[in-house]
Amino acid sequence: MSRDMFDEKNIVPMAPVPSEPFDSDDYIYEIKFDGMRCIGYYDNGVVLRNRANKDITALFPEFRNIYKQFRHKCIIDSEIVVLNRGKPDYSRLNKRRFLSNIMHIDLMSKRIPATLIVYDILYCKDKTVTEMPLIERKGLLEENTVESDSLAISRFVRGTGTALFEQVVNQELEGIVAKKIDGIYVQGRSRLWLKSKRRQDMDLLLCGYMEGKGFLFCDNDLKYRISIRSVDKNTFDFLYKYIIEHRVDNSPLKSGPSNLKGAIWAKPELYCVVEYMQEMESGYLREAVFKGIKMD
Amino acid sequence: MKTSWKGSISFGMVYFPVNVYTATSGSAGVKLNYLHRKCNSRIRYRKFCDACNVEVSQDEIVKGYEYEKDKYIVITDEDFEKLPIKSKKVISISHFVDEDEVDPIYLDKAYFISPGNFSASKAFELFRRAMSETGKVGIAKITLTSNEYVAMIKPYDKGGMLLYLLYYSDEIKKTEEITELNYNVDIHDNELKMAISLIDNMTGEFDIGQYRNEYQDALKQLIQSKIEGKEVVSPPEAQSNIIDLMEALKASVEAAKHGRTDSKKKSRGKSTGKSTSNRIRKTSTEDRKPAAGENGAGEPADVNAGADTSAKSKPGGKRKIL
Repeated sequence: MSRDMFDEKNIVPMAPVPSEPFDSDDYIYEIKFDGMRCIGYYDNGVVLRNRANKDITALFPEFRNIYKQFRHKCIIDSEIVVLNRGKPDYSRLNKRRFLSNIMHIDLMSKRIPATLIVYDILYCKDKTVTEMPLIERKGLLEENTVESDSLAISRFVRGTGTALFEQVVNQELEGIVAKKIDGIYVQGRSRLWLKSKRRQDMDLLLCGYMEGKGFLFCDNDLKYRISIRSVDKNTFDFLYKYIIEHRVDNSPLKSGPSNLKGAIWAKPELYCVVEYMQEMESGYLREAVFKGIKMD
Repeated sequence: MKTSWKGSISFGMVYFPVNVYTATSGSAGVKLNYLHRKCNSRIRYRKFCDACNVEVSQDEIVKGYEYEKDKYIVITDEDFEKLPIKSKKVISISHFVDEDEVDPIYLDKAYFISPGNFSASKAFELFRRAMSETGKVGIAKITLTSNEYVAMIKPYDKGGMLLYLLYYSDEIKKTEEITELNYNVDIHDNELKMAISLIDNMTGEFDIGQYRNEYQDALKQLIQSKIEGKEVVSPPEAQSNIIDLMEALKASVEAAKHGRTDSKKKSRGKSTGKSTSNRIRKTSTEDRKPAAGENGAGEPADVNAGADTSAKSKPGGKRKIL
């Protein structure tokens, strides 16, 4: 038998294009959850891959038996979230994603267990279903999935994108994704999916650390953008270690404020995702939050 | 795996880039912290100057050598930079020796070595195979962080090469200092035979995998059970929350469309029907309508296939949640 999508395990998850919220009956609208993208391969076992196709199965022992929640062998597109008072909490998820010690992983999977929110199906029984219209895939997903304490099927509405976005803003969730109702599943970026986020992302380079200010970030033009102080301990350790290992003597910045004396500088090579509310004219990012290392 | 550092191997005319990885994790042991018995807070280490009676920060600290009691010579960063270290980032092989000439007592930390880039692979493999065929290992000098080391490089049978940092000869203690070793005894031939047959009896294959650190296992188990016993700080959350949240948003959006819900009201009502945590999943016997629905223009069709499309007509079917 020839190798198929399930055997190959090299799916590039479908990615939305940014857009303003809008209303159209040609689209369904889902909540965009602030978590880790996960393509799951389920038969009599579980293999989980992240957006960059890195195997993350071992990070989430609580999903070890989740294949039993699917009626047939399948590939499912989903988001892994860690909840805090009923809402996805990205910083809690961060406490899970950098662990490597097996005992620590086991322990944290019990303390702050993750939830899998499934929203698309790419393969069912023995065949690829990516060419099926979205709405049929949604039906198939629902038929094939039994929800459980750690598994939820993503809910959606049709036509009413702006109203859902408004609710999402009220609830301080990440945003919404509009999906073309008859769209196929495309690997990689596609206009069939349109995301509207409450906050914006920017890819920045980690360029240093300064006591009192935190981690320093610059953009592609080596222009200083922002310092971020509040990161959780794992993130701090990871970024700090990176800086020490890639330390350079002089500031790599081409432009920036002069009050960065005493900073430790690093070769600006590590792309990070920083989320912010608003970009000021000076280039400063209002309410910037560190989101993670850019994986792709 | 994350590289520890990148550099080059050089010997004779040959020079190629390599990546160096730590080969051992050393993290088998559970890490424990010191806590204040009274309040269970972390005990911190502070750097303190007794003479000035102040706590000092890292940038106020310099290194010094005590050449006489309470007398120090300060060595600055500039001084360190002046030191003649040639082998920075270069693993410079001075000669090759037979592997069994290297007493294992000299072996310190182990590293994996791989080709530094794709085009270095050939030189790397050539060098590796040549050592493998001759049974020789390379002896080299390298610099790591701020010290210079001797190292041994050998092919690794599971792929790539191994680099062992070696102790310098003056770092190995002398057995002459152990006086009990100055004994004088007579051994008879048949005593020796007996001892040898004892060893033969117990001879097996070397399999490090069969050994487990049972003390650490027990310690981990103890910690695990203590945590489970007092899991009060952050009890695991029921997943019903996320379904409730999604259902609530969905319901309020649909209700808003009917102009029946004031979306500013934030009364988190009791979930009803299918939104409860252990909701009964609709099966195919429900009146499932095709995706596009026949709900008419502007109707927010519940396109959640398999779900109940007639919710809007049910009395009380709309929940004011948000």
